Amino acid sequence: MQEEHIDQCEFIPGGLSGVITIGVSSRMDADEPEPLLTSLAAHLEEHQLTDIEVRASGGFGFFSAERLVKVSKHGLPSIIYGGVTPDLMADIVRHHLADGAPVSEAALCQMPIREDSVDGIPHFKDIAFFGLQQPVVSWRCGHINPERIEDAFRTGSYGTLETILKQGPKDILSMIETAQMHGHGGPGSSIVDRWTAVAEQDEETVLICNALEVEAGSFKDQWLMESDPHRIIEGMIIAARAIGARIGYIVLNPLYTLAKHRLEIAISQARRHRRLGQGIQGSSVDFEIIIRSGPPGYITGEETALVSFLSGEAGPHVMPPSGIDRLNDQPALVANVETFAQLAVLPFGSDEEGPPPTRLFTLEGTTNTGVVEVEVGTTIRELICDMGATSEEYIKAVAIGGHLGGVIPADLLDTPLAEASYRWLNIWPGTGLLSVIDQSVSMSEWLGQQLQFGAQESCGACTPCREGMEQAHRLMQRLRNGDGQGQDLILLDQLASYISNSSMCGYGQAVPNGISTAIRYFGNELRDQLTGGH
Amino acid sequence: MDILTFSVGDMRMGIPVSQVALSRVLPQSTLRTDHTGTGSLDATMPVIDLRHKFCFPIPAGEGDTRFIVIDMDNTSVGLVINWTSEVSILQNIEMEAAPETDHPYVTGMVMDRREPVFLFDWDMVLSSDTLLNLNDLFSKPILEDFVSPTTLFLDAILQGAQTPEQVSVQHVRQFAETHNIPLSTASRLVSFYLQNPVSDI
Repeated sequence: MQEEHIDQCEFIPGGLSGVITIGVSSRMDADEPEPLLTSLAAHLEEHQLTDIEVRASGGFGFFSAERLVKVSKHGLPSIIYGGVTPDLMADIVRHHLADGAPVSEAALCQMPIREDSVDGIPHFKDIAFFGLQQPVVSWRCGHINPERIEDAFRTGSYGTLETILKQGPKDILSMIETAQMHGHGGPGSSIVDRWTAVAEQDEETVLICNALEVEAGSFKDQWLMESDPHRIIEGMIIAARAIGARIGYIVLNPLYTLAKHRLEIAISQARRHRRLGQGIQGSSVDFEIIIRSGPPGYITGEETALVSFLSGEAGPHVMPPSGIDRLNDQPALVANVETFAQLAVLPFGSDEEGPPPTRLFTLEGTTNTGVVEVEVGTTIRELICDMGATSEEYIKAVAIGGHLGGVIPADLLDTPLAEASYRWLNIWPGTGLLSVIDQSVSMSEWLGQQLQFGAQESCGACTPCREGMEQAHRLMQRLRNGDGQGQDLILLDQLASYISNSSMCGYGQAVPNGISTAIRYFGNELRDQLTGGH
Repeated sequence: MDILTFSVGDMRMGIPVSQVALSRVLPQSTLRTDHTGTGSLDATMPVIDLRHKFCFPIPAGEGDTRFIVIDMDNTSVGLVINWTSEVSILQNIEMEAAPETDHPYVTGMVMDRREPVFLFDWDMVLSSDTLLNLNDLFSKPILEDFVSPTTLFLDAILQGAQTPEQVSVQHVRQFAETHNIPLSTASRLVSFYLQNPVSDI
């Protein structure tokens, strides 16, 4: 985290002696925040601490240390406590807030590097989960109140909007090209050509934010929306200006009720402050955001299926040859939540160099779990072993990108996570989910589950995916029943290639990645397990 | 018209200067408001905390209170605003309609340094017993969203799907009729999105 960001996170309003920030996110059980807040209120009253602001933020992203609480008090660095219980909250109020003596034994870390650092508490830079991150879009998450637009304003939101409104689409697209922005929801490829093609359409366009995040285990979009909804809104305004859209949809996972609540508040606030609606900031530019709860089902997260849903239709469709989809007869552009967030941090109207390209990942199956933001090119080892605190001996493989990604062996942990690697590994980073597969898991079992999922979730609209995934699933079952031959794995690999090359939509094109990478990297193990070495 | 502007919560608000009698900062101890945000100054002048009235959080620990006094029907009323509020006067402004809402409480809007300043019917605001959540007043989208009949049908079905027992063949028929879409289309959509073939429609 940059020093100026830390300073902004340390903000204590005038007249107050401190701020206690409780991260309230969907990663907590629904009944967890209430006892903490009750304990806090009771003990603040008991100690007559009337000059402390209680701030509810989104989560800090460190799921395995949840119930995180940050205490900022004049004269002390901010201290983050993890796994806070009502009893610990009482100690924090009594010792830290009332007496100015942090509860060192329960503290996770302290934030700024200062002369008055508290002995015995590690600095956040020394906690690998935080210290190895490069938060560019997520640095406010956990630190600001997502339901207060003043917090967003104070920390720079909507600061470039005046420039954006003056600039034409070409200037914005030029900045996107300079920043070499990539998509953050699918194959992870460059976005500028497609966005330029949509912007060049001689008609009004529609913007769609894909917030379905259908991949089980991935929470990066949910975390961003819950913790910093104004970042998404600002990014959508910039994107709308770039492509000439007046309406933008956020199609939200129906289970994301807290994200919906906070987005609705943020949208109302942005309307009140004329960052949304007719005549944004007194200009002639109009833009409105409408939230739609999406349908259940994995396939609806696919780009064309999402457009179908908004059109009142069912299932994916063939993308027109122009590569531009249409919603209600208008050109439509679909992008992921994180892509919009990344757009909001570009330095429009400034000669300054933009921030380094980063990407969010959800760590699953690791000792430390949560969402992290790292610079593009960070290795899988740094994410899994260092930030995730997982021993290399424990790791057999890492599944990257969920069901549309692929799997790599522990030998490749030093692979940097960048576009060139995704192409080389033949995977989609997709939702940015990194799942550790431990040594106890048989790859045939893992692949069997992948194929079962692939066959079940195929919508059936095109033959290669519908029939291909079913055949692949049956072939795998035959192998697992001991009826297979060594050459069946070659057949399975060829089938994966055929499905990938001839399916209609992104789902069919990407879901065989699991088969091809498993065979490529674990072929010997699969052959031994499935055919007894025949 | 000249407008005195001030901040309440995260909003800039305005009031015609002709209605304003006084703007000053007082020690907190001089002012008494109860949990409803109303009270009195020196037990004489009625006071209303606008932050409470408009559902904004009231920061803890403010030593002093900033308030303005306005005249309403020859009666002075104190309005508590943000302690940190900048109070300034906009001269000779032309009011425009607030596009975001047609709510009767909001009478208009002016732009000041690219920030909207909202004007209210203060008689109506202060005489109302209810709290006014500004997010509710401004929650309606102001650009038209084209919604097809099939989308409306889908919304209704998916809403019903949250309580699965409500999605029956009868409901599908009823929703299809309400939104005037063919039963074959309704069947296809339900079959796909709920993964539940409704074969006997």
